[in-house]
Amino acid sequence: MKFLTTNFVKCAIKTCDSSIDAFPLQYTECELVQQEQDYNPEFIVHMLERIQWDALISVARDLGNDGLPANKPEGLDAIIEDDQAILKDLHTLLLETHIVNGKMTCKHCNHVYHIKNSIPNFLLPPHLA
Amino acid sequence: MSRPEQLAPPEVFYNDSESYKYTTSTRVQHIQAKMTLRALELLNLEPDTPHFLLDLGCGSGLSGEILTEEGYNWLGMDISPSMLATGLDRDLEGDLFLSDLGNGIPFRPGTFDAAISISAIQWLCNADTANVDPKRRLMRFFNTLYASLKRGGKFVAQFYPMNDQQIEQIMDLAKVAGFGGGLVVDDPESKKNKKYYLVLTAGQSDRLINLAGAEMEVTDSNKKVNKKLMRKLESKKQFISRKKDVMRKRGKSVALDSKFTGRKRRPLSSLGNPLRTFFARTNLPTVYEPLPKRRNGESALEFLQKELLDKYDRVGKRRALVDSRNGLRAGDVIKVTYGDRTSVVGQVIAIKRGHNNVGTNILVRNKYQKIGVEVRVPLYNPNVKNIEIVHKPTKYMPRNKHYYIRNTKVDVGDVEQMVKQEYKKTHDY
Repeated sequence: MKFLTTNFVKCAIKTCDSSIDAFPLQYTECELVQQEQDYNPEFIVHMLERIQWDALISVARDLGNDGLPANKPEGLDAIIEDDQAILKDLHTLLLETHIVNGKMTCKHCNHVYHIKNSIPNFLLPPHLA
Repeated sequence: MSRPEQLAPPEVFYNDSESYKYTTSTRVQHIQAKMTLRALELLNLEPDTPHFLLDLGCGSGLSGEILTEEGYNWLGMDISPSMLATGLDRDLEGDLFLSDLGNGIPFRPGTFDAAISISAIQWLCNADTANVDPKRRLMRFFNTLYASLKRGGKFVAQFYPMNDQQIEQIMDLAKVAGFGGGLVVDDPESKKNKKYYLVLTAGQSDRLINLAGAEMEVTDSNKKVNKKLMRKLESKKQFISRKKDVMRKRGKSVALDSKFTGRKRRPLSSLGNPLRTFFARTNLPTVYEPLPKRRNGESALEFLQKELLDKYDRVGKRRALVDSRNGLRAGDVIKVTYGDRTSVVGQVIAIKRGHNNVGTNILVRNKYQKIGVEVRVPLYNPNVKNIEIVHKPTKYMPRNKHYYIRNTKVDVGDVEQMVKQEYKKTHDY
């Protein structure tokens, strides 16, 4: 699972729909892997608009990265040379960082979702479905 | 056509072997690719701008590969672990999620630009376990999907509906969830290639769905054909189903409809049915060797007839009687003596003869007490002891006249009487 996805995924249980604690999930015991991917600055800029920076910082902290800037970098352009460095960094962080194994916990209902072979398991037991 | 939906739940049906078969089949790959491209065409996304797509029921990522090729970033969800495992082996670009669509799409509002789904959502219409309500699952699916799409986000789903009610159910629930849109049917005439695309938009979109090339399902209601013409045009199958409907309306018990209704029966071959083969064997006619066409250098029939003549007329006396030159003539009077010593005297009216015909016979006529009596004498009958010529007239009538003498003035008289008088005259006593 890409690091980018952590900024979107939330608890699948119906009762957590209305809760603000259901996002982001708590990440523990995670195993990270770097996997190279084609650099696509337009996509990063496109996704940056809808990224919740606070959530990104908290998830990064869960995964042991405290080095993110406190504020979301704004006004980036995919073509301008000066922005390329920060865009490349974002690309490495968001798209090339994969969570291979680990646990995700909903802060509202404490349900644990497992990540195995980089596939998160969102199948719910019958009593929660 | 069997529907996999009716065999097992998706996570069970798509096991390791089935997902391997599915993914490696070039035919499936081809169809999937075609449908994915068609779905993208319907989505009508802005070109040259990045998009984040959701692939529902991505399976082993056949559709995902197309999305990557087309330059989209995507995230796939599927319920079958085997399919996803096959997908992992194929090094897909997108993230994979193991998740049940009926439990909702676990994403924050506004995550995706668009969503596609190839051959998946019909699975949601099945209740695989006792505590599952397909309607509730579909509702949950559409609600969460609506939320996770950005405003104006579009969703195109190719699916295989089992019947019209299923389409209706899906469309209704999508509408309740807030989606706008409808159904696109590709290739509606073809039974096999007919494809249904559910095309939905979450809120108003500035870019409309690309409906170029889509055919609306034509409703025939405005085409009024009169009843008589309709009956003339209907097929045998339609005729049967119409009659069955009528009978059902009348409350009669009618055989259930199936795919075999109105079909021709398979020809009953003797193969496969042991009883039939048994009867077929016993009913076989006896077959003899065909007789040789020629015997002794002449035609078989002539040879056999001659053989018979030799048997019944050893000396050739009878044959001499009907000899065409010196034999009997119509008008002659003959006396036929039978084996029991009774005899018949009469004038020859006609001789029925053929070439070497054992059935040759002589028709003799006489009058007893002014009543005409005719006897046909079988010439070679062993019961006939003797045939003697009693009297030959000095003058013959033309042969053909003889047949018409009955009850005319030239009819035979009392032949016996005539013969007696003749005898008296010649012998003079």
